[in-house]
Amino acid sequence: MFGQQVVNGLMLGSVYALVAVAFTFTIGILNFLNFSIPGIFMVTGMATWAMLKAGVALPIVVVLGLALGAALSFLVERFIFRASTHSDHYVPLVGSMAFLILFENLVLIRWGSDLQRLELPFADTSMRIAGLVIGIPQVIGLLLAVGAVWALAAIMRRTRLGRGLRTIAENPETATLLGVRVGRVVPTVFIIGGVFTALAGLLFAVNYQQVSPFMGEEVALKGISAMVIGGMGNIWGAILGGLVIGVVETAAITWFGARAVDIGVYGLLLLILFFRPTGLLGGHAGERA
Amino acid sequence: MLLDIQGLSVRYGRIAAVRDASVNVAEGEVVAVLGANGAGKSSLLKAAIGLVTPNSGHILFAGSDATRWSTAQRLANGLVLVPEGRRIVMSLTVEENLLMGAYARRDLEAVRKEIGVIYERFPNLGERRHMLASVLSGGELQMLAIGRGALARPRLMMLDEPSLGLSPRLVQELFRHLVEINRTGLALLLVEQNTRKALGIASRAYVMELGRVVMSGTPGELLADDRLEAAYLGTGAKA
Ligand SMILES: Nc1ncnc2c1ncn2[C@@H]1O[C@H](COP(=O)(O)OP(=O)(O)O)[C@@H](O)[C@H]1O
Ligand SMILES: [Mg+2]
Repeated sequence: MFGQQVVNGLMLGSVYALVAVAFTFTIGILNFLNFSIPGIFMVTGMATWAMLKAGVALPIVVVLGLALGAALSFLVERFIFRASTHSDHYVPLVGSMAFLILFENLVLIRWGSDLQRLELPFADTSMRIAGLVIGIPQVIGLLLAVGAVWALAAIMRRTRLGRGLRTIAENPETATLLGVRVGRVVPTVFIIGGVFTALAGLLFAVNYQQVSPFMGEEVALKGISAMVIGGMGNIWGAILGGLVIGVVETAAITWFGARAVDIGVYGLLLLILFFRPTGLLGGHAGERA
Repeated sequence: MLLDIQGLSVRYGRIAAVRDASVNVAEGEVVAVLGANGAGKSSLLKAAIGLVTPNSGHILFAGSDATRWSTAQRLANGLVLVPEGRRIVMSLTVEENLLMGAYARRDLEAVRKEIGVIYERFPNLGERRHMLASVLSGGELQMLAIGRGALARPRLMMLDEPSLGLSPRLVQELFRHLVEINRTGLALLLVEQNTRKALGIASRAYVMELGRVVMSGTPGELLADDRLEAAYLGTGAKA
């Protein structure tokens, strides 16, 4: 049934959307493709599993998970981005990939390569609306994703920090000239990106009840595709792209089987790139709301 | 002295853009810096606001050694630069650009009021306040840049070739406005190619050539000296 596929696809898409927002936000403001994002996604997912297994209460897991994402992202800023301010732009890109591999291997050493299952009593609670089965954790996830983007868009549009970030996006030297302490503001970009990534990792772990040290890689490709489909640097575009990919993926599984998933998703990516090279909401800079 | 630049040198790799230049501005004064393209005028102002680091020399502002201050610190202490080419943020609205001028300020009530005054003085900006700055004409962009600078509440405003690219009528209006804001007690350090206009409002002027200050004096003294024209045309009148 079509409606049900859309509902399921939106839930899946919200995870991609959050990762895409993290990617697109750092690109829009700092012109930096941060490959540590899938690593942070995976570490938060694994940490969620480990904490729940150790009996930590879910609200505390959520808070600690978000803090972990922010902290790891801040670490990447200190070690990679700050250190390579004056290098060519591919230097931080490669550096952030090194962080992805580092995160993966640290998790492999600690927990091994197995797929880990989460036992969550509430994970299968659902409600029925107009004949559609809607999982409650999934709805909460979707609402959280949209709410987080809405909050970020409001910060970008209405606050002093947002104006400063949009000025940095257009020209860092102009921002400095106007009194923005660019070196102090840049870490906030990483912290925001880290929080979005961690939220995605938490949602994935809770909704799909399984995590592995390699869960970042597929989500990275889908997240980057979502960003491109939506339009680079555009946070609403990232949400749109993520949800579209989620729906296409779910529909492809149902109607054509699991093998068709990647053909559907990446075929769509190529089609959109061909007809709208700037993406669906194509613009620039992270501020477009 | 409000601003006292002493023996300043700026290098870009092997290029010496400013060599041992000393320039000062008193409270409330209008001082002009003249010179041909490439003389080092912009580099002097960029060093004064902290966008480039001098290789030697000192920058004193209101009695404090500001040489190592960040740009944000200089702004907070009352020094502002309206840069060459205006550097308006085109992806921000007119009003957001003005708010960026007040980035370090916390007295938002007063900021709102001052923005209102700017809109009254330049109704074109007021009418377009919620449009992207990219819709503005050259003259409007320059007024926006000056308004943005004024919103930092400076004691000294440095302006780098504000008349560049403006029609004679707009240049007229620009200089009238500069005199107006100077009357409020704001000191101006004005870099200009438009020598006559600049000397018309300045009480003193410096002439730069190949990074050095080669002449200084009152407008009367400079206009009487034929080395001014030589330096302005860049034909090497050696001091
Ligand atoms: N960022 C830069 N890198 C290298 N050389 C520069 C740079 N900016 C200016 N210069 C050089 O420094 C000298 C002085 O330039 P500038 O300060 O812009 O002079 P003016 O404003 O008087 O035209 C020129 O020779 C110019 O080419
Ligand atoms: Mg210049």
